Amino acid sequence: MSGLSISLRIVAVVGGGFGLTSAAVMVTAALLARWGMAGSEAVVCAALAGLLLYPGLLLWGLAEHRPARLYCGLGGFAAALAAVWWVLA
Amino acid sequence: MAGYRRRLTGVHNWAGVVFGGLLFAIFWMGTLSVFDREIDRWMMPATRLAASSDAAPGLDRIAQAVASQVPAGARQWRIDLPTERTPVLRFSVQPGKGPPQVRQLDPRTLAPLPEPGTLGASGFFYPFHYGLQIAWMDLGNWLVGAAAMAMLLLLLSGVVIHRKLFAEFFTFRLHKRLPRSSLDLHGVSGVLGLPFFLVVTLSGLAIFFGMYFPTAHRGVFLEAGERGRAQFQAEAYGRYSRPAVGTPGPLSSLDAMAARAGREWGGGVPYFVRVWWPGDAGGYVEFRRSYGNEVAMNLDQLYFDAGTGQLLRSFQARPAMGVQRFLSGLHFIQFRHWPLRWLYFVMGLGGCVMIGAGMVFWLASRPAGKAVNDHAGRRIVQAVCVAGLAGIVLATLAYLGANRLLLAAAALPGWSRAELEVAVFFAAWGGSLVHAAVRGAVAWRGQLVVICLLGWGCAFLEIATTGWHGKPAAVWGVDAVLVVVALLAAVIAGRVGRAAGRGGS
Repeated sequence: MSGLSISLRIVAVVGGGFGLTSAAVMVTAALLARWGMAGSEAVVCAALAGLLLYPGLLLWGLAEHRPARLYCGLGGFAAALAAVWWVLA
Repeated sequence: MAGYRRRLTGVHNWAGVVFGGLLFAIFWMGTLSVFDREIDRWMMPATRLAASSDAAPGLDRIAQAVASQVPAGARQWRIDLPTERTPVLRFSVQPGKGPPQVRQLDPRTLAPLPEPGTLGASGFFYPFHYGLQIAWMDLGNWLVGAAAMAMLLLLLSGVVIHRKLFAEFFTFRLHKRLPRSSLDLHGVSGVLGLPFFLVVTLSGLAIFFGMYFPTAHRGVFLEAGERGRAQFQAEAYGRYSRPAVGTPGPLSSLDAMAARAGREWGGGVPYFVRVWWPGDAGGYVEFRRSYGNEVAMNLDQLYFDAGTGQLLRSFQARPAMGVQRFLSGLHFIQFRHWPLRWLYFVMGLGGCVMIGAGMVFWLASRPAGKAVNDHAGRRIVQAVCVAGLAGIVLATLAYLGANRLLLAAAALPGWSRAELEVAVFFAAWGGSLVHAAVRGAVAWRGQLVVICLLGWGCAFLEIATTGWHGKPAAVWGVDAVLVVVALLAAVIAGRVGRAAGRGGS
């Protein structure tokens, strides 16, 4: 594996993973609030869950050796979040 | 599975090499912060007062005593009540303009105590633990957050790659060569402390959830920008406020409000009382309930009208926020429990051992003698390892020593006494890094010997400057730990010396 592809993957997983986690927290909070949870409670729940989601994403992404699966996984997750956000808005 | 394990080993090694030194510093400062108030007493002899809350005067007397120190037009003043670990009254006032002012008072006489001339542990070790003394754009907090995330990753990947963990648990080949014994030490401390490390890392992250996910509220609190965020904060954390009206108003009895607070809280006691808009008819008084008897750092707050003493608002955290406050409390240990406090201290040191042994193992399994290992990366890790492990301990002791050596009036142009102490810390740490970079592996022994001398020196200086008698147990505890550190450093220096004699790393 070349240094460039490794660097790209680290940026994608560490940076992209964090962006996705932040987005997932935002979407989850909005969903929970929509389902009747008090607003601040929904935000706190989603943010605490985000602290578990991010290391999970890191463990999967940093050890995933097939680039296609890695980028499809991250891209698919982003698309799903965007779709839910769009439906909620 | 074998492939996954191999790739995780790579992740574990890289995360360890990149974050090891930073993680050790965070764990070391966090471990010291477990006893921050005790170290404060050690560093501020004037605050070594006998702890007894029953002799404390009522709130109304305190308010009278501090009234003259509250400037006209002040935003607020606040009294933090004495506790077993902090036997002083802390009075702070925020003037209408200018920086807030803080004074420590003797809780019996209400006389101001002399300026401590030091940040102590709660003003230096503790903020270092979560902010690294880097205030610029919260960079320090973010670095600590990144290191904590790396720690989670290291712990989880460590469990997967050291799969024979439990089989190897009773294996500790202390007298084998360094790569073997440091790996065993890494494994034993890692297994023993695993639950603690996971809890303390996750709870540390939970404290700052709002900083890591600044946009979390956007889909719920729809008002744009700061307004939405403020709405979320108010709903999650309470915080009542109302503006000053501009006409003068009296302050009714704080003791009567405290009695009402006790009833509202089922016997709970306040840990601080804050008067907003003092002297104004819009003024109000805030009471916050003490954490002393429970793990969760409750958000219970009561607001009274300053003039009439009527209850304006009562707040308690909702369930999810209650979970966050419980996690925070697990991390902050503000509850009264000495055995548990010591357990936190020992486990924190165990974390330092695990991190340190992991770094030493990485170095020891790449011996310096071989040409293949002779690259800049290894030399950098070597220097960071010595300065990051031995150097920070050495700098901490230098900071404590400076506290006892510098005269009370010591100052340089532009530098207060407290800043000089901090400068000594960073000078010693920088010196350690330069020494390690120049001397290579030999630096271990030299720095361990200095740690040993400084440990004895600090304990000796403390007794020489404040005598043998009338000291609280907290101060003796710090002295005892200093001596233990000195002895341990001597033992390790001896072992490192023998390993060097055998041609190890």
